[in-house]
Amino acid sequence: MAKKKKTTRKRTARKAHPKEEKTYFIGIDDPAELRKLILEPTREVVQFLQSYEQFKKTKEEKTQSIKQLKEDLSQIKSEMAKLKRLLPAIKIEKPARKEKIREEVVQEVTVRTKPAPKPSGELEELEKELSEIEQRLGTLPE
Amino acid sequence: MEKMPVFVKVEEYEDVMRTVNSLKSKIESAKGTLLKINQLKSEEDSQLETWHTALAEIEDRLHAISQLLHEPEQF
Repeated sequence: MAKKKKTTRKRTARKAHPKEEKTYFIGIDDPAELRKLILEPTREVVQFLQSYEQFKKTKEEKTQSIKQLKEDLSQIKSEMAKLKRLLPAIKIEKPARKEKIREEVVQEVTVRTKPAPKPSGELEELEKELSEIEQRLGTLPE
Repeated sequence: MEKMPVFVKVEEYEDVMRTVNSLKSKIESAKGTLLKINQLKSEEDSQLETWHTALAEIEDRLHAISQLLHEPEQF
């Protein structure tokens, strides 16, 4: 048992000091200044993290407000539809001259523009609605 | 094209006016919400600007520390 212990001690002693390293020291003229230089950024990082929490709250509040705005706008949309239903529907004849000009413009636009990628879902529905409204507006006399 | 007069029933007219008033209040509400979003956006922008400044200051101080440790005056 005693012999085994001796061999292990030798091995560890060789591993612990593989090379002799020279130790250098650098003098710090103003250690207080150095500490200040280290502490101040640390304080700033803590303040940074504190303000991050505030930022997160603001962001959440903004998201909530955007949702609220969307809700407001959809309510406005439905009220406008109600108004449209309440008011009498009148058929208005399309002014012939304007139609010709519109056709020319549409032809030009179709030639120039490239086919855009099709949007999906709600956006597509809104675009369809918008084009319908624009079409109706085009038929109204100035 | 001639402009033709259009007549609306009195009951419907009242309904129309109610809808118009409701629309007015909803538009006011939407305006208020939009204003709030704008304020929150300004807060966010200002916070981001503060972070930018703070990060630049931290970088400056780190540079100063690095100078102090790597380039001592009497070496």
